Amino acid sequence: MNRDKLQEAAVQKEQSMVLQKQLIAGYYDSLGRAREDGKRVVSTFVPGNLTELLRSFGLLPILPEINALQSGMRKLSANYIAEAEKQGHSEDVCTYVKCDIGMLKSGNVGPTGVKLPNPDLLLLSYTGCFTFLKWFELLRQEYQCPVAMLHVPYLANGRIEPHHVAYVVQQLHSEVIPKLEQVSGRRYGEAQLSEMLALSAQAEDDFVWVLESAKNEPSPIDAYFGGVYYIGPIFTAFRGSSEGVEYYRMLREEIAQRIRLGLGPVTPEGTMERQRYRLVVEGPPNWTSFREFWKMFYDEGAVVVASTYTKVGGLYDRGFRHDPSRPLESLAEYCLGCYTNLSLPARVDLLEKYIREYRADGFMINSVKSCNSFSVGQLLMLRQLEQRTGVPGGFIESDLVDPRYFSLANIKNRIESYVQMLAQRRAAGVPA
Amino acid sequence: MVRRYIELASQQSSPSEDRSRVVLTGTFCEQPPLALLITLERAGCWIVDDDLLLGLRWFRGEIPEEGNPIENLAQAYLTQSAATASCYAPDGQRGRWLVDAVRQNHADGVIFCAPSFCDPALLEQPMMIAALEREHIPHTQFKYSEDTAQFAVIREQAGTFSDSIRLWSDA
Repeated sequence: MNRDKLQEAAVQKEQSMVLQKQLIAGYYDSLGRAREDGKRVVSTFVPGNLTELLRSFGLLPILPEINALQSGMRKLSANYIAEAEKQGHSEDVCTYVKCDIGMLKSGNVGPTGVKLPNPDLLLLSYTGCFTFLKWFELLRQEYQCPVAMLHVPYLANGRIEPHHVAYVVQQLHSEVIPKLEQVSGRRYGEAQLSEMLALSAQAEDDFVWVLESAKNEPSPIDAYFGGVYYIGPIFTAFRGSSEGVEYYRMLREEIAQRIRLGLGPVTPEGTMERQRYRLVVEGPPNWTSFREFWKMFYDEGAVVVASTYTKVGGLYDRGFRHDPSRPLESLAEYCLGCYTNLSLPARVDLLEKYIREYRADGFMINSVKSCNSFSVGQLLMLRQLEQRTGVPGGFIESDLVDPRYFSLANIKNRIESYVQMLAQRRAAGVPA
Repeated sequence: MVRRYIELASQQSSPSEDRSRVVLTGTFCEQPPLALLITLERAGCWIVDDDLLLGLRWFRGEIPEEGNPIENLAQAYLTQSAATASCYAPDGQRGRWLVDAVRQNHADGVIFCAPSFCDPALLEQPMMIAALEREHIPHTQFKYSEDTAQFAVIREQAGTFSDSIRLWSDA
């Protein structure tokens, strides 16, 4: 079989993409049907989400950031942001918040066109993003439903201490579980939770295998632009489910096949054959011009081999797994270890490891205007990483879901200039 | 020294100046540039209350000296601190604080003055503005950059706000 046929065969096998879309669409459909199905829903955030715990009570999560980014990709966010600004919100604040508020004020029709139910509970798991507090104050004003607060200590010293875990577990017992029992009308069942956590760990093993496949050359995946599709199920409603396990099993098989065939990642422009530069990326992507953004890297032959954004919902590749034998402790460790809850030095350490372990030629920081949690300190991180690794960093600025802050020409210009610099270094024999 | 100052200040006789009494809010995290406060006063606004110096608002009463001092501090922080932008303060607590500050200090209006890109202060503004509007309390809002000393636009806006209160307010 010649290479073209092999490639065609590989593309035809990308069933995981279809399944991922089906899962996410099905999730939104289930939210739309929640009332008629007699399901209660809980609004909560991706970093430090307690999906298995919610599911063990038969509750459905609604994730405002996911709604916002999906709205961004579907070109709906500009109008929602305009609506929120009409309501008095500043142009400076988090655009996820404004997209969410604007969507709510516009009828609360979700990104797939399905009307979303009002939440029965706001579960505020506060992991490193101060904005979450005020976001839920705003939602509380709109929905007038109960709030469960889970305070996750910030990892200022970069590691999880036993007293951190005990503190979070104590809150799960005293604050979160009683409210989930109240909303769901069910008693807490540890056995069921443990069963779900075992499924989570199974999916997490395959997910980590997928992420680490980027250590191959050529890389069979793009760990940033492709990575955001891979994190979809595990960061949303499918952790602890058999559907989630099936998705990651299928994804792993497809990528194993790509490695065997020596193929690069599947991109919107087709399979990426020319991989000139291996990059690590810090920061969330821009969602409103996602495809154009990805194409800028593709056109330059730049494949992303590791990213930090794909760790906001858990640092599985550093060894964490949900542990069915210690269910609540394990959930606590999960919340504590999310990327957004790490200190700046811990983030620099992680990026340094990625640059070395994935043999990156460079790293790029996408500094998003409206996310202070991510963006503060990124220039300092850039300098420290360059000093430690000798690998050059690039810096671009955009936003999450506000299209006004995606300046295509400027960003393209910066990426091209950065890649030219990498080319000159390589031509001059400067080691990566 | 402060008590002595208050005593002497109350004895000082000076002609009352035609200025608006305002509550300043939104600048809770770091002290804004002194020049900004001077600018507001020169624009005709007496700042009669504010949420500057966040640490001062953590403990609003006496903390018991008996018992475990750490527990007492924690208890005071949890039960006696003001509803500030740095706290989760649902159900209109922040709006009520602001309306109370206006009433208690006989203020004519409120100036929202937050550093740009300050999510906590800026996100709660619409909720606080709604609380003021329910009470028909005049307000204005602007942002400042923490490391700049250019306040010409702010002076103009604060001056217009002060003038509008003095010229057209019911007070």
